[in-house]
Amino acid sequence: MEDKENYGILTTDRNLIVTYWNSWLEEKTKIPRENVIGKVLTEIYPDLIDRGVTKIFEEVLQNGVVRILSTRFHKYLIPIETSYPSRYFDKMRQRATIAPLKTEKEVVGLIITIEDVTQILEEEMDLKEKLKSPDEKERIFALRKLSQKEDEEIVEAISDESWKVRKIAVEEIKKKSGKFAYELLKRMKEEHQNLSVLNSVIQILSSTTDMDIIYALSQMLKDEDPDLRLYTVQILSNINFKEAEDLLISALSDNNPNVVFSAIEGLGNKKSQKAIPYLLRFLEIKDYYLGVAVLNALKEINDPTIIEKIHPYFEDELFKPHVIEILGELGDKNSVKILVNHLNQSPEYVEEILTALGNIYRRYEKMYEEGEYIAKEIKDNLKPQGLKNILDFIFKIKEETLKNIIPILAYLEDPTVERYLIKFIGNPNVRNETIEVLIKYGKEIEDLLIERLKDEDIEIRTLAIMALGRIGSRKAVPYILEQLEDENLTIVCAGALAKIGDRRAFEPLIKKLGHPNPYIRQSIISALNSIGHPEMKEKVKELLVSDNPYEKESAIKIIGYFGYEEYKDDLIKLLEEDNEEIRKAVYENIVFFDDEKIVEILERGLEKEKRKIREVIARSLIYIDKEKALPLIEIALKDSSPWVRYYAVKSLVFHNPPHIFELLENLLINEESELVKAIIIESLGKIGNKKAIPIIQKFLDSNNKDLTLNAISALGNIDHPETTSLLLRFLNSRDKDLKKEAIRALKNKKDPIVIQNILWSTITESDRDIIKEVLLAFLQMGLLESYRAILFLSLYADKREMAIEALSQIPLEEIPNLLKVCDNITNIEKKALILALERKRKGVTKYIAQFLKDDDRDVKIQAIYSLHNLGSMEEYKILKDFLLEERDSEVVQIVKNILEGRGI
Amino acid sequence: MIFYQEALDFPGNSFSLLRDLIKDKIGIYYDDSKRYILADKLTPLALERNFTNFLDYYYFLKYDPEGEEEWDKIADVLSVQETYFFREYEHLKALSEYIIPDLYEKGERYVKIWSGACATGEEPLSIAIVLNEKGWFERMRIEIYASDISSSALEKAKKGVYKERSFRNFPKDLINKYFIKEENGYRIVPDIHRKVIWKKANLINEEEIKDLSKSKIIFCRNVFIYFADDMIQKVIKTFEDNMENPGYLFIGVSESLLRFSHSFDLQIIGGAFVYVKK
Repeated sequence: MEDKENYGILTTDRNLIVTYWNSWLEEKTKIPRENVIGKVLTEIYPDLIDRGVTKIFEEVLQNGVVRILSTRFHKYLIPIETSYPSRYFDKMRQRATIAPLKTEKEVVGLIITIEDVTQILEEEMDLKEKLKSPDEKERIFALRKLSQKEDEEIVEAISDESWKVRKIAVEEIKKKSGKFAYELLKRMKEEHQNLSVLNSVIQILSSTTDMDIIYALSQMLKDEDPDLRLYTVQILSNINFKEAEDLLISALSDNNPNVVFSAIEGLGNKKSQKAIPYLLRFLEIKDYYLGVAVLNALKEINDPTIIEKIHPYFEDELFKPHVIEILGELGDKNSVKILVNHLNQSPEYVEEILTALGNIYRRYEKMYEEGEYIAKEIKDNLKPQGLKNILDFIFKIKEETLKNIIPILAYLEDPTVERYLIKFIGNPNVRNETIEVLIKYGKEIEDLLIERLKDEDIEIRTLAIMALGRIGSRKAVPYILEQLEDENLTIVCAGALAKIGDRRAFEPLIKKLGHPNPYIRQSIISALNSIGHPEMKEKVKELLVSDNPYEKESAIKIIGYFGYEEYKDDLIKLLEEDNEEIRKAVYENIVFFDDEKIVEILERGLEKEKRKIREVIARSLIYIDKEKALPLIEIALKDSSPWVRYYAVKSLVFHNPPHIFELLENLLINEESELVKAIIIESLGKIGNKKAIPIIQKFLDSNNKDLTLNAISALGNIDHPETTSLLLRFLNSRDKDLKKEAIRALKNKKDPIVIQNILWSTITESDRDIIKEVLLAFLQMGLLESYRAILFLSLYADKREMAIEALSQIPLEEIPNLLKVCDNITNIEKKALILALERKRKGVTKYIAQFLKDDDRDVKIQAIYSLHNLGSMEEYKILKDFLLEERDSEVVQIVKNILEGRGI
Repeated sequence: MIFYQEALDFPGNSFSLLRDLIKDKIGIYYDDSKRYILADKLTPLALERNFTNFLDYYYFLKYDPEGEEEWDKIADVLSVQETYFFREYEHLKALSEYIIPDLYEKGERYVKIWSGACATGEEPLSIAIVLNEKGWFERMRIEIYASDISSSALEKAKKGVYKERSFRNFPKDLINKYFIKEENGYRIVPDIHRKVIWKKANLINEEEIKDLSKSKIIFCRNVFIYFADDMIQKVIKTFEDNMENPGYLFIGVSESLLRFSHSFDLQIIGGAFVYVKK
């Protein structure tokens, strides 16, 4: 049987310039390929525009969705004469699919498939006529025909008495489409050198046609062209067909090393435990090129049982860095010994080994809370030379590694190491970890840090002071007070003294209240407030009349903080001072006092004072009673300074009077400042009044992105169905920030339709930030449907890992409900769920164990490995009991291997 | 002054708003993992302006006329000043032993060199030193321009006094030749110091770097690692549009223009990777 193409297939770029035109189209349109390729499709068929088809093209290009043109509404995509005189139609009737061609980042064009359904529709129309026939046999025949719609000879064969003939008939049908797919993909590879594009072609063809893609791919693996075989392997690595894994394993026997290399990578991507024995063979034969690929793949597969098999390859120089990495991901106590012994002997690979040790530590800490076990192992094996090698390298270590290494270093309890650790306090990313472990492991941490106060390096002194403050060391107070005199250290000393709260610091701190530097003054005030000395009240009396304006200002702030009523009138008198900072301080703090004069004072301030002071007043109105505040807020809302109005709006929202909506609405009408508009829109959202919807809606298309973002966020806070539909359109926005904000806003809606919409827009999404935002939103919604949506996203290779991580965050009490939907999910989703449960660690064993009863072998195997990874006696008991019931020999063998490995 | 205080908060989406604004203004990009570092660095500036959260600070930078003045301070705190003499020496060697001689052979007698993102000046001074060592200032007119976005870094560069840390890769025998020991450190000899023309410039601002880009040789090393991709592309385009032909671009050894579209040709010259404009 000669294979004929049954479909028209064309591809275009984003500008609708044709890039591929298959032979079916050549034949049917009578337009040769060379006359079409390079031309714009609408130039060849201008009526596509009038018929509205270009709008569909635009939608697919913009949003990455698939659209099918039904014959009900579109008789054809491109006008083609029927190949025979048709009883009913003047032109060929077509079923057309328009789908996006995609790379990792974007839609690069269209792929359009066209199926000639003229005959089918004609038959249907004939059969429908026959349904009205008076002859019963004719009617039965018409009925059967209408339900089949296949090639005639094969259809008859499917009805054959012999089951063998029937089976072959079915396979023939599949093969026919598979052979066609094979030829098609071969040709498309020439046109589209970009692998991602070809990948998207495969996805589309498999989901929108009945082509047997797997058969096609298996044939492509046997093709004599190694490039095609390589392409095929790369495609198999990325598609989610169940058969892909087996095909990749078969590709390991290819005679072309590049094909094998890619197959190894692909099996790693698929985390194929099945492939492990095949992969290990490449290490045994010392094929270095492929061996390195194998090690990387084994790392991806993440099966800890292979670690013992990997250890011997540590000594091989070419494999060493990769083995080190795997040991970090999967290694155990024995791996630690190997790594530390190397550190003792050589300064090579220090960073890699430290990273690996850190990873082992982190894993043990996270999975078993036994990080200390690893730290002890390191300490017991580390020799002085090894420690020197570490310390020589320590400041070049990446932060991620550093976080994992710090607890190990602290456990060493070595004074030199501790000096290095103190330096890490200066890094905000690892500061907390460092202080925590110094406290946990450092026996004389206080004395050690006090000793460091004499260090020549000012950074060490600073960090030591900071750490002493954090641990609340009273012993350190006299030493810190000595350092207080150093201007470079005053602020950090004040911060530490504030945390320690020791009254010995009182007098020295008071002396610093007149410092010209506002930071220093503020830090001193905070420290004094924290100490709360009984003599404070008396002291401020002197400071209020000081000649030093800075001391006065500081006194005002302290009075406000403690609410010393007796000084209220003194504060009011200070409003006559020329010094603006003093007046500002008064207005800031007078609000904490209860006095009838206050309102008048604030009002006068809003009318007469300078801008900076008026801003302070507007901001402070949240501290006075609502009835008193509102008239003042109304004055501030009319201020000439946008910042005054800004803070006035904030104060208004804080007090939330009944007429707030009308106030904000009126303000917005006349407001010119973008800054104030932004806060008004935000506030309209906060008050949640649905009357605000049309007002906010106007800003959804603003030229100012801040206003649009605020409008989206505000709509998220208003509980009304209209806001949902307004927000949903942003799911198709090309602006990443708007899309993210819309997702954040929609999470408040908790509506299954919203979930569906977000889900479908995410399927074609490739931006990781947006995917993360979606997963977070689904988690925060906390509905079964939203958890189900996360599960669905695990089907997609580029989202799988993030989806598993998100699933692992679902609260434990929600898991039973989620498991109830498991009968209706795919095996890939089940495996993702098992992995997510494994990450949760606690309380999940019984849930994972349920999957041991699954019909699918791969799901069972995943459950087995996950139970093994949890690694307590409870899990092994379950596995042991499972052995008694399981009949599948491959599964049984896996469990036996695991139990034997544990000595059970 | 070292300042340590609990950092201010990023409410809502203010981290990405502020981060993107900084990227657009000065090119430096902080990804999500560096959120706390950004907060740590900007807190003192925000507090100085009496802001209690970063959303208000963002609005200030974006909408308040006084916000424009703030960018100088932001550039000072965010730009990385880590540098030292003879950093990535292979570039300097390629310059003095291959590129300049080659230009000389071809009859060139004037060369303009620009060190963009020079921080405290070690790089352009290193260029001047290696060229001086080979006697090129006697044979050609060489102008060395050096720019940075940070005013405080440029001030230090103009002072020309350096501490021990700056010499960790510098040959000991050259220290006495090119530096005068003082109480606070080592001062570059005036003769070499004079050879560098210091300017303030923001790499992101095309107007500010247009003239500087009209150079034969540009050093733009270890700055792209802090930039977002779209900003790197923008800067490269400015170089491309304005550099002389042929022109030589040096970027950091751990950096690459592979991801970007450009017309430079990557060559190995004297053992160093150089992007050549043809």
